[in-house]
Amino acid sequence: MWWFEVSSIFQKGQFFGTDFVFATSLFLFMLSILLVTGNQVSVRVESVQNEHEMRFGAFHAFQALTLSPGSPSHWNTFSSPLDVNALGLAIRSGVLDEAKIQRLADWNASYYIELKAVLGIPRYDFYLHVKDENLNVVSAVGALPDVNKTRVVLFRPVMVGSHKRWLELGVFK
Amino acid sequence: MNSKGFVITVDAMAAAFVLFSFLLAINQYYAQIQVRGWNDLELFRFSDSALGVLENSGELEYAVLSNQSTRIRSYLNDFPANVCAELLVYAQSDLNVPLLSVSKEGCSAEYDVRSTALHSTVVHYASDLNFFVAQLNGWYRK
Repeated sequence: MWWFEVSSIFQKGQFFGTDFVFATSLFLFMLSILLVTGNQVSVRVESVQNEHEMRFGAFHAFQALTLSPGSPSHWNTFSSPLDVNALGLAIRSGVLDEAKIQRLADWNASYYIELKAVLGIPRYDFYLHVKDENLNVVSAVGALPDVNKTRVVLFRPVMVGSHKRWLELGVFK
Repeated sequence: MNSKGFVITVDAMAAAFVLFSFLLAINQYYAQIQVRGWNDLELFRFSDSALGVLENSGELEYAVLSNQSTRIRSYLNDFPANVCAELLVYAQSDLNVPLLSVSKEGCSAEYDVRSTALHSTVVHYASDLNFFVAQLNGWYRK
């Protein structure tokens, strides 16, 4: 009878054999490698994306500072940055207003968070340094980063009044 | 038929090797991702700003009138170590041969990407207004 044959197959069969254990182990090993690799790729892509966002913010803040007078253009006459729409230091393209730089420095202690927001980089910290031809800092705004913090630094030659200067913007998280 | 078999075969080994190679290649590829586009854009902005400084400070006019490039070379030499640059000044009447050509010292013309900023500038000489085109090329040192 056929049910006797089936019964005998089940009784003598070896379901959990060495080859099965080996194949399962190999599969799990491969799967774990795949997951680890996938995770590394994900971390790397996220890191690049974060750096991209930071550079985007830094670049546009720097552009506004060096190329525009800000909005309104006489913002340096205000008592706080709360009514300022956009910060800009330029008298004309690449030539910066010393009075506006000084105003930023004055506001730094009391309105640092507001300055970040007006610069368009509320999620990050920043520093803005004006350096002379020997790279000595002549004016500083913002906070200094820890050594280990990820940062984007932009460096550009500018004129401040009639002086040749270097402007450095560091953005960090 | 009763002896125990072993499932590792050469084709299985080859398949595992290919899979590992693919995983390694993917990992290597993603590890090399960089945000390079911003560097090129920033290089252009740097070159444009530097040319603006030379123009606004009067260095460009002085160099054209005196045919002296010492001060401009000194300025280019102060650029960050990884940035190379050369300044070319053309008379508006002849844009093929530069009147003035100054390069940063220690830089060779080897680059992947070169950024070019162009400004037209007017130089007063006697009672004449002379038009010039200043070109600043910048590139990252290799």
